[in-house]
Amino acid sequence: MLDLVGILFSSIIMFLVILRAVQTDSVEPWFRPPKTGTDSSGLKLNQTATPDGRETRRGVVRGEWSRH
Amino acid sequence: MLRSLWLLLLFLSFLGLGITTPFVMTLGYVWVDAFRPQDVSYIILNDLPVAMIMGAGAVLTYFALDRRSPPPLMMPSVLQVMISVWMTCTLIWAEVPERALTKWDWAFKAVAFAAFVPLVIRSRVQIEAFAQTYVFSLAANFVPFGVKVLISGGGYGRNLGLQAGNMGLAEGGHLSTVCLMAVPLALFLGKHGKLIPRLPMIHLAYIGIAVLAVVTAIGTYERSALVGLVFLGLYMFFRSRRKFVYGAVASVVIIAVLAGSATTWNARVSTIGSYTTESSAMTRILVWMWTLDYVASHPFGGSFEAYAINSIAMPPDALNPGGFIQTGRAFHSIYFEVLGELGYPGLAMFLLLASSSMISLLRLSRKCRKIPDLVWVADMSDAVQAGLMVFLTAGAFVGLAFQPPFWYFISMGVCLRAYVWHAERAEQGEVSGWRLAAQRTREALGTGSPGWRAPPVVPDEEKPRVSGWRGNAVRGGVTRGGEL
Repeated sequence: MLDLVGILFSSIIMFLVILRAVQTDSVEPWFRPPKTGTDSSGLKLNQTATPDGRETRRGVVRGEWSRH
Repeated sequence: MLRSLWLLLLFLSFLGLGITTPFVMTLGYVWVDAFRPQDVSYIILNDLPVAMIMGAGAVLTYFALDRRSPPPLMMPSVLQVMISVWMTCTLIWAEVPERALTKWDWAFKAVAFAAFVPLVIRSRVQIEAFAQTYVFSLAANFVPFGVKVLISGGGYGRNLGLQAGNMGLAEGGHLSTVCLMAVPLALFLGKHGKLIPRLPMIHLAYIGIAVLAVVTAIGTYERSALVGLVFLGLYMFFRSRRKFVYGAVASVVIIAVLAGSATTWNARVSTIGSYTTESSAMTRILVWMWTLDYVASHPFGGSFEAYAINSIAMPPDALNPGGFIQTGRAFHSIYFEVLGELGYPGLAMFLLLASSSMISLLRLSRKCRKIPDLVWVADMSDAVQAGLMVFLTAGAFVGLAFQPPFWYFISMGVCLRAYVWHAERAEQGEVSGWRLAAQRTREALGTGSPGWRAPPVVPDEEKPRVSGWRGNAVRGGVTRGGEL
């Protein structure tokens, strides 16, 4: 009985993790440039502000980073 | 029956998901390799070549659908390939060809597949899914084992796990070593895992899994488990940034183990000091001396299972006053196993692989610790180092050099390094092949990027000031879209 519980416990969690991984991996960027802090103007180093005040990565539309 | 049907459903789910998402097929192979559903099923899966199906599926789907962002060539991967080639070569001069071929069959798959893993496991999500799959595949074995130990106590040679016999995870030395290797990985996942909802108690759940892994290792009554546990504790202490808290927790654990352990466990462990009179330990020493003599005349080793030809003269004891002869005693040590089977070249490659992986993980940890976005890489590097440390110390007394755990841990290290390599270049955009050549030519000629890849125009006054590593990238004149 304990064996069955152990198998069910581990396999259910493992499979939920894998389903979540499949879902996340398809929408998230695979590799993000690491942030190293902020510069003197307070902007994060790998981000910039668009004219309307939104922060976005320099020259890159959000979402473009994934699956290149 | 219910268990078998459930495992069949899981197996089919891996195959179904893997066809559309290739990295899942690789995770399926890791699950088959670590959990071994074919050994605990009573119908269908026990008659199928499940590892071959999943392995072939992983390789085929990768080459057909998923050859993006390959990792840079790294020394551990090269050494893994070299070792798999060398172990195949040793079959030519195998001392016991049939047995050698049997072991080569699974050892080659373990090493070769581990070399393949970094091709498929590239993103953070995939790396974490790999670690989660490995830990939970093992947890299916050690969670029930650990609970049984807590309820009724363990025992030397007492199999409380899922698998029968005396092979793989049914063997105490093997089980205890892989359980201890999983401990730092489970703690890392509890701290940084993002694939499981961050519920308030989730960290405690992973600590519970780590505790059950330790209980299982202790419950096997293996002396190598104690060696591994001591080195795991010491290594995690030295790598810990909160040494006082860690030391206090470790002290409580040590007191709990000493207070809760049975007298039989204490008696078993205390034989570590009496290695000259204790039969099992003495046999190991004599086998190791035989191995040194053997490779002196056979420097290329005797291929797999070469120990089958040994003949050990045991010293006299109370039962055998005149001494006696033992034949075919196993190496009982990863180092002597590799030395006896693959010779000095194999041992040199093995040691180089282990040491280079440890050093590169140390460097990676030091480098990423300072970067907030990569702290998880630093912590996982530390976890993989701790796992490798357990293998390299406890493994000195257990013959599991070609079992998958070590090779998977090496691959995890490669995956982490490759991830950082990609992340550092993500700002520039990933280009390779003819695009890279074209980009270099443009840089050399000082011409602009083609219109279709030109970045959005940012007025000069809106360009942010940049410094540090990104500043270097910008000064180098290259951004994701081309030149500035």
